[in-house]
Order: sequence, then C-alpha cells, then structure tokens
Amino acid sequence: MRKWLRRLTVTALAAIVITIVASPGATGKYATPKGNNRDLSFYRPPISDSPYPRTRAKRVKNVILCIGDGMGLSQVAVSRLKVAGRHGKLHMERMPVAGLVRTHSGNSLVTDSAASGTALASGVKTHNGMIGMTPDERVHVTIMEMAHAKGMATGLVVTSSITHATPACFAAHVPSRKMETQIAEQLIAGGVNVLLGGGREFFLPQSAPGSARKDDRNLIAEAEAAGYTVVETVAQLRSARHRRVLGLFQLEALTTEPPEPTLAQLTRHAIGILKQRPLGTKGFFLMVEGSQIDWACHDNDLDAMVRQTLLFDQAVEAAIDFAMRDRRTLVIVTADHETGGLTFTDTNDGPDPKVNWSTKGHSGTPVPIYAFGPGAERFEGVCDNTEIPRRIAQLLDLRPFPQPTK
Amino acid sequence: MKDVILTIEATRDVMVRVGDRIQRGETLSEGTAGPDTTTCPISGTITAIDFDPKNHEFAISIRPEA
Repeated sequence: MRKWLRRLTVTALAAIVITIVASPGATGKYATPKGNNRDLSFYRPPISDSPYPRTRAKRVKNVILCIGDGMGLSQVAVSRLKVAGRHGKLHMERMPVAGLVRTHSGNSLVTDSAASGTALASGVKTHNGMIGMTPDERVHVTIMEMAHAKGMATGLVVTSSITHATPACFAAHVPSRKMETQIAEQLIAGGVNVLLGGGREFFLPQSAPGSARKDDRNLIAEAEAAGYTVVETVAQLRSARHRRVLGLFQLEALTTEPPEPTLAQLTRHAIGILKQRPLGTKGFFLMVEGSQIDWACHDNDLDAMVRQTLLFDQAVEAAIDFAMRDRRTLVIVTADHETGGLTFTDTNDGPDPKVNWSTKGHSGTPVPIYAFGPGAERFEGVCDNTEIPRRIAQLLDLRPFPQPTK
Repeated sequence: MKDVILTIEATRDVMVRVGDRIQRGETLSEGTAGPDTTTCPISGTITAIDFDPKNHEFAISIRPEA
C-alpha cells in the first residue's frame, strides 16, 4: 500500500491530478457545448475569390490581430471545402499577403496557448503554461501595453473566458495560465479599453452565485469605479459607447449560440468603440480570438471545428470591412498553434473530405499567417511567432520592443 | 465500482482510447518536451476521455479492476 501511494504521488507530480467520481462511465461534466454544428447557414462565403487589394498607404494607425486558437492549415482548408468548395476561399484566404509561422515554445517543439500567446504578445519565448514572462519569471511588456502607453486605445475580444491564456498574454503577467483570478485583476488594473468575452465567474466575489474567486473582491464593482461600463447582454452592449467597456456575457466561456452576440458582432462593437474620438485619435490595437477552434479539435469534432473556424472567419471579415474603409488599419490573421494533427486524404470532389486526427493534443506544425492593409508585406514568408509583435512594434513605432519591465 | 478520473494538461498527447485496458505503470500520455511521459497509477479500463476547455485538460475516466 505504501509503495502504491508513493507511486501515486510521483505520478501526480508529473502532471496528473486524480479525483474519484461517484457515477460510473463518462461524466459528461466536461463536454464542450454541442449546438447544431452542421447548420452553417449563418456563414456567407466571399462573393469573389480574388485577393483583397494591396494598400498603397504606408502609415499604420490601427492594428487588428486575429488569432484562431488551434487553427492550422488543414482547419482552414477543410472549412473552406465545406462552404466554398475546392476553388473557393474563406475571407482570411483573400488577404493579399500570406506566410507560415513557426510556433515552438521555450521548452517544447509543441507549444501551448500560453507560451505561444506570450510570443505573439511580448515577442519572447517562454515555457508552456507561462503568461507574459520569460522562464526566469522576468516580466516582458506586451505589444498592447506598449500601444496603451503611447496613447492608443486597446481591446480584447474572445469567445473563451476573457481570462483564458491567449487574451491573458496581452495584458497580464503570471507564471501559470491557471491563475485566472489574478489575471482578471490585472486585466482591470491594466486599463484595457474594451474587454469582451466570457468569464464573469472570475470577477464576482466568492459570496456571489457562480463565483470562482476565493476572496471577497468584486472586480465588477472595481471596474465600474475605474470607469468601465459593464454589460452582460447584446442590448446593453449596443448602448455602450464609453471609453471603457467590460462585456462578460457568460459566467464561463461563451456558448457561441444565440442570444449571445457572435464573435463578428463583438468585433464590430469593439472597433466602433475603439475608433471613436477622442479615444481612438492615436489609433488602436485590437486582438480578436476564435478561442474554441482549439476546443473542437481537442474533441476531434470536425463539425464543431468547421463551425468555430467559420465564426472566426466572420470576425475576420468584419475586421477587413473596417480596414478597407479606413485604409490605415493593418489586419493580421494567424494561429497560436495547430490542434489535433488534422489532415485530409480524399475529398471525392465533395464538401466532406475524409479527415484524420493524429492526436487529441497540440501539434508542432507551422501555422498560416495572412495580412491585409499598410505594412502587410512585412508578414510575407516564413517567420517565428516572436517576430510578429516585433514587426507590429516597428510599424507602430513602439520602441524598444521586446523589453522586460524594470 | 467508482471511476477514477485522471486529469492531464491537454497540450499533451493521450496514448489511450476509450475501451482500452491499461495496467498500472503503462504510459497514459506523452508530453511535449522530450522524454516526458505520465504513467497510469492504477489498472483498469478507460471509460471516457473528455476535454475540459475551462482548464485546458483531458479528464480520463478509468474503471479500476476489481
């Protein structure tokens, strides 16, 4: 018995946590939302396959960075086959500049969202699980914090909890992605102008129903005291045009089902707030994440993956719509990593290819990057994920970058 | 018999499938950083593998051998 316990302890230290449940078989507790993933009628493919025009303007005023969590080349290709056929394109594929991004983390060929998000936000490699700091726990400033310091407006829009790894990397610094209560505190303290997503549980005091906090801090009240308009519904969001908006539409992640706003609607609202004067006079930096592509791929659920990728592509379309009119906005679309090791081997000219998932975890394959707008040509070719915020910093004249905090 | 649930960070690759019989000490998952495997602390049958998006973990349910 003692030997068994010792082995159990050693194993637990090696990243396993063990619990015993009363009910036999599948718990169902962890199941990701299962809506009607085969209904793709919400999506309108592009009316043209021709590339969006290259922009002659040189000066970049605004940047919209769209991240498809877990979205590799096959995720894009299979989604396109479903709705646009083998000769069609998604909106992101119409962007005139394309390339590939290497994603390895500081301690692994296969990154997680925390390490990759840190690379995309701070321009440095770190270990899997770490947010906004190098492996020695040295905090590095993020591109969003640099933009904020320059007087630009900033925003984060996601379908996960707003405290999840990817959004956290742009405005928080903690040694573990699991420290979501601390991440929530840092998001509010950092003064990000627009925060839209799920995760209300991390903002409510422990006495409130559904709270995930272990203390009495009420971050909703603290946010309001700091000048945020806090909204929980689409109707409330429509009337929120203030310089700081905190939209938390679920206790946990978004369901991505009505009556919730779609990621595209959230993106349009965020742009509408960030561009207004005087807030957006010096430009804005907005990060938009299609968070649940990754989750569908962890479940090896093809229909859910396609639906989440198309919801993300709708948000990309919204970003491009604005950038086409504005002419000073750079839109970048990429992924933090690929999830599922997805490939397809036979399409039979139809919309349903035969797909193969090689893992339920992440893979280390490069991910695509697409760019549109002034400076887009800087993202052509093959680059490391740490290069992306460095090039954005150069285009926005944010220097020095990367840099540790003092 | 109560199931035992093992949770494993989801960046890792799960090396078992539902229905597999696994012996104590056999590999349950492979890590992403070199020779980094987790082994199963009990013998039994895999009854479910669920992804927990909130914590970005796999929850592996095992029915222990009697």
